[in-house]
Amino acid sequence: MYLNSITHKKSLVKKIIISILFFFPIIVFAQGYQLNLQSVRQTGMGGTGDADPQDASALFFNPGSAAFLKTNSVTGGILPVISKGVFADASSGHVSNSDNPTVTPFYVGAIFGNPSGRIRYGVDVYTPYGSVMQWGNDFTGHFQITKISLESVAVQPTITFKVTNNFGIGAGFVYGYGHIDLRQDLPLTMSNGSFANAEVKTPANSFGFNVGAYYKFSDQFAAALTYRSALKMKSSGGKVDFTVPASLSGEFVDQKINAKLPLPDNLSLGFSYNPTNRLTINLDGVTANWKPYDTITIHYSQPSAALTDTKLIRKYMRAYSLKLGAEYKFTPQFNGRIGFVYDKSPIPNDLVNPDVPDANRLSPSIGIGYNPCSKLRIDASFLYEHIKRKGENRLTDINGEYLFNLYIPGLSITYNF
Amino acid sequence: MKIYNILHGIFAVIIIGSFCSCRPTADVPAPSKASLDLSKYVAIGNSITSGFADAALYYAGQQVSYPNLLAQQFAKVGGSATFVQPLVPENSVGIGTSGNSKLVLGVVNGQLTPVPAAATGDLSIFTTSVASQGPFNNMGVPGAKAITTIFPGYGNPANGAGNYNPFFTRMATNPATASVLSDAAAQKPTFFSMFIGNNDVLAYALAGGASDSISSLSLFQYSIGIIIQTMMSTAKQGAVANIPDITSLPYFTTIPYTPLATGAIGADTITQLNTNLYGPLKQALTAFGAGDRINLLSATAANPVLIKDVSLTNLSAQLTIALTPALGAANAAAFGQVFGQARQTTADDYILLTTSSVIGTNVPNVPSPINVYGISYPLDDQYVLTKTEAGNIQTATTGFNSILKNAASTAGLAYVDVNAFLASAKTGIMYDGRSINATFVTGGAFSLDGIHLTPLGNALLSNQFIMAINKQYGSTIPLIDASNYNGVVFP
Repeated sequence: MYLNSITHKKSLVKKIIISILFFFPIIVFAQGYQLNLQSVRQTGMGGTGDADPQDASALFFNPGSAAFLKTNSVTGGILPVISKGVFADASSGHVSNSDNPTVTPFYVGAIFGNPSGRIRYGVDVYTPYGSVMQWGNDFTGHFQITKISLESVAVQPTITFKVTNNFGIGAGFVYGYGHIDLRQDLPLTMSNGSFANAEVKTPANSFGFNVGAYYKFSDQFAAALTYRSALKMKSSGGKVDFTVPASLSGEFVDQKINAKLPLPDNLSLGFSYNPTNRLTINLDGVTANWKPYDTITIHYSQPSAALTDTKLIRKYMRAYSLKLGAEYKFTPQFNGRIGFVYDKSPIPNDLVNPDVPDANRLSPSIGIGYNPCSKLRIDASFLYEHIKRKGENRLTDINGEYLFNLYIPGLSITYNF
Repeated sequence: MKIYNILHGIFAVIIIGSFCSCRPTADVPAPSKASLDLSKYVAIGNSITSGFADAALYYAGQQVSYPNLLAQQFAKVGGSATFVQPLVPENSVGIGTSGNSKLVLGVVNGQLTPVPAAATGDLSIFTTSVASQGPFNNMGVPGAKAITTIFPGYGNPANGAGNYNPFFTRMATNPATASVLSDAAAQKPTFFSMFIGNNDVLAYALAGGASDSISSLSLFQYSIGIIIQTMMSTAKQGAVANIPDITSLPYFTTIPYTPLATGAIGADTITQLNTNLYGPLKQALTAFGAGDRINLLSATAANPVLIKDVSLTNLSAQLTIALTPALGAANAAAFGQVFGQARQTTADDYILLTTSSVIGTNVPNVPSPINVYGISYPLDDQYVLTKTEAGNIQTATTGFNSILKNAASTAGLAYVDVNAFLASAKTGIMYDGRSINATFVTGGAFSLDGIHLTPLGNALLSNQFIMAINKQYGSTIPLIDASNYNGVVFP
């Protein structure tokens, strides 16, 4: 007669609700991961170049300036990013290491058409965003992130138009494709003593555009204004895989996910000045609007009591960069380059996360160019970035200092014809 | 030449920079013990101090006892690297106060349920003295009260079963004469911690207020005074912890006062119970001005359970008379006997965690239909902490904590507000991206007995001690990074 009630009471934990705060730090595209590595020459000059077209990579820097290239051009390069980091937990002094596999941004660009004509065409393929970060097993923030990997590629067919002999405009259509892989531990201990974990893998894609204007005041002085649109990356075919205790497998079912990741637009103003035939000085200012990157929601296709939509509160601010670069022709064959970039991070002080431990920073770069013959140029560059951020997070309580060294050598080959 | 030197230089930086990447060095300030002398740390306490968890004393729990974790942090500022505990065998199922083994989370009828790891506990733990491995820095003894910490012969089996503590017997230098305090003080500690007093209220509370008794304030104050005075004959520094309000513990808060969920009792049964039992009882009680003791069962909401509240006026005789016309003299007498002090639980009562396995079971030697615990037969006093009993406990807790705070302040010792810490755990703590609260099993802080802590809970408790010590003595002992400590292990 009372069997129902007996059964009910015997299973004490029947109505267990595993209330796990399921944070997914899905995005890593902060300023630090917005890769400004679309030309080895420009990287050597602090990433400047909006008003200084030299080869087919101008298609990326300023579609409006590419029409002023004196020859057609094919260029390609790689810029491997080698990074090592640590996190020092503020209260315990515990230091965790981040050993990050090298990522290799690359680009290939080509511009065709009649160099003396008004309209030319080109296509540029490049890596707009990218990062890999892998924390050690004992990382303090392992319930936020243990590994994050982001690979992306953008294809940009472009048309560039020399309106007058001094003024050019251009526009490129951008198709961006990315692949994101995120892992984090879940605060559930399995019978083997390890923590449960979740891995989200998703491709994402978006369309956008890149437009620019270029004005050549004289042979010495040029200015540029460019705008690269936001990319509203939309995941498609994303999934989450759980490794959880067997008794909870019903609460955490491997399933599809979807999410939208707004990447910022970029507005930049650039100047190029040649005081002599041998010296070029560039100055670019960029602002990226990260404000849409406020709260990212991950929707699960099979939510449960333990697994509800994940809201990532990021509240990014507008970011700024100021870049200064110079190139000096030592001989007809050899150029030397130097540059500095100052980046102001979009991440608010009270919401620093281990997925993007970004910071305000001043990064130096140097480079060298070699022309074995008039049509061929080989460039090498080196960019060093040091990230130091005292991170406090009012939501996750992960407080400490993040320190990263990024070493980015670059090598490219350019053929002008 | 100069040009080529510059170019060579650039080239060299590119090549060298590409191959020699170094990790940045974190600038972590060196911790300091300031004036602390941590060369010998001895911990006085009860089960929480001993590392007791999951209803038993077992090896893995002892490893993460908060004094052991504290000693490891002390070692980082030059404290002794040695901290000796009265360990039980590594692979033992452990032993609890009722001879039980530790609890593990199992799956019973498809549901997660704490179950004993073995049919009985490892009784060899009680019968094997480990005193030769001592003296023990960890003098935490499960079951110890403030007032028993100072008892000589607290572990003397000659006192007879129930009158000595076998957890102390196994570790005492001389069970017949030693007190927990005398064995602790004999080690001549330079630093001590005292986290005692929980059992001075908890023993009463754990029994639902039915047995044992709350220590008197004066005896408690006397005992605390003796402990501090004795320890401070060598240890000039130390930490005193207060005791948590029992309503912070899942043992008392997991089972709601309306544990009979909607649908747990069939609609037909409810009708039958209301017609044949609850209705007539309420009618009779109302006649005696006690109609609020019982209300009819609801078919659409969760229902409270029947309990025996010994603080109520016993209406057995009146009920017998009132029910005799309907039930006959014999049955009416039986009903009167059973329901004379019966009432339903209210929001002010605390149903004990272990009572969940009693509710709905048949009462032995009682005939149907008044033989189901909580539904047609009141739960005995030991299963529920009534409003009155809970009030007694809260009054005592407040009084004890006031004594502890004054004692710490007078002696110039660090004061660890465990009460506030566990109250914050009840609300919920966000720690290193992990949400921790006092929810049973899933909250992360409490082990499967609903009273003692998980490894994670112990690490966070240790941090409370460290913060209090740093505050009192100006030291900078680092906190524990608890992000890799476990909560409950799931099957």
